[in-house]
Amino acid sequence: MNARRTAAMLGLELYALMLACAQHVLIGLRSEEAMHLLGIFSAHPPLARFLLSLFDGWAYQEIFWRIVFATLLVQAVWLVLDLSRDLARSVRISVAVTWLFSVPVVLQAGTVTMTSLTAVQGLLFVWLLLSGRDVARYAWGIGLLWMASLFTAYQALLFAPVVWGALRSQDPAATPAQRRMRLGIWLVPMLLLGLFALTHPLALMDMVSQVTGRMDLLADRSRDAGRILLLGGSGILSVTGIIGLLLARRWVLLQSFLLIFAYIVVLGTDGDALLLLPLLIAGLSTLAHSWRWVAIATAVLVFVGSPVWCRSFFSSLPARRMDPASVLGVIGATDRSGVLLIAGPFGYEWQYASELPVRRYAARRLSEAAAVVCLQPCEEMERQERWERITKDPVEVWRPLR
Amino acid sequence: MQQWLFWIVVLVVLAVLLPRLWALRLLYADADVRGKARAALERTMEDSGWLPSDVLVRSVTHDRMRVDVRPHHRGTDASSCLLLPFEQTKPIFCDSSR
Repeated sequence: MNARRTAAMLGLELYALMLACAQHVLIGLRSEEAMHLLGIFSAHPPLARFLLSLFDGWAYQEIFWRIVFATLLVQAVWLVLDLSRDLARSVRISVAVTWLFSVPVVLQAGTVTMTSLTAVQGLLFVWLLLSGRDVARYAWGIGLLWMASLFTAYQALLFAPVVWGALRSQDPAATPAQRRMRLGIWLVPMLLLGLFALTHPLALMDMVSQVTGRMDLLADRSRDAGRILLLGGSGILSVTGIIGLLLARRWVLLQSFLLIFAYIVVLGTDGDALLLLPLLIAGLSTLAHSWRWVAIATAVLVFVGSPVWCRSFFSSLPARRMDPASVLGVIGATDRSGVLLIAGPFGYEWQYASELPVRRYAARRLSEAAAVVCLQPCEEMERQERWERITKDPVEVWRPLR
Repeated sequence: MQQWLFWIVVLVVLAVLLPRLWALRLLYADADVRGKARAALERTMEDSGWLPSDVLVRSVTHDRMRVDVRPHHRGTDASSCLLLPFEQTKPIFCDSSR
């Protein structure tokens, strides 16, 4: 590896570190992130959350994985560079800049979410499809990678058309037996994922109810989806990327794009905009083969526009959410054999901050409680003689009288 | 080599998932059992304050279900195996039922 490339990697790593620290300092731990760090049974398959939870209890678990996730997303730019390797240097750098400074990467790099991992895996599959290399020899390896992706997050299914394209594309002279083999490589991991879903009925029920619950809101969801589409491409890339996908006539890319868009309409959040980015980048790379200036203009507009979008995002955030760790810190030494009761709606970040098991508050459970946190007023606690309130604002924290 | 590894992984995953699915088959095959299981779980979670994310359904029979309860928090999580009979309101620890 030459010195220039090494310097570039180090520079990218500094950028990743900066993005990870920004998430840690400016946003803090989200509920979804806490869920993954604790290895909580969730809607997602177990591969990534098992790895994340290996460091449960380590004081630096959160920042460590933020840095890892940011590194994966930022260093993935080498795949983007390879996609445009037959283009002029200025165009290659433009496409890379577009990836690195796009709004989804700036806002999502350093978040401990399955969306970040799926986006990197999706980019890898897009690269396998478009790289022009003979990947047919590695069909079984691609199958293993496909299985790992599916067992990281269900969202990997959205890239199924791209994976199928990658398995078929490099060997037009394949025999019927080879075609059946590749179909098996593509289908078997998805069937295993289906089996896994059936072994977690509570998570499955939750997913089904989320989908059916949102079908009534399709009109509103469609408007949101349009906004998320713009967010995914930082505006200009959404246009140039889609034009490039249409011109490329790689139908598997368009199929994945439509699947992701449909997913965003039904279930998506702003964070899912990142899933569109690998496909939009592929479209831009294709367009750049015909019109170099488009890639350069896109990069400039993304680079200039990204701070504006991000600033708008940060200014729309509520004041830093109350920090569960600081709230729970006032409890001090407690009877460590008890549980923490929480009243009101709360996210997994409270479980992450607590050294005690957490249960929903009810007055009948006070005998087993070491402390009570009321995120909404607990009028019953006022009548409890053996309990003292430690804090009132912004939340009530109660502990037994000593 | 890749082909062998692929099929070994598939077999390992099947070996883990198929017994679990077999233990849960009544949940999908029998609407009556499904209704009773849901009611028992909701009743127990309401009584105990367990969070849904801390409960994992392991097996279902015609008269009871077995769940693992693992309250997640920082550090080592204690795990309990409990039986939820459909006709009773109190869960039973798996060990005490023997």
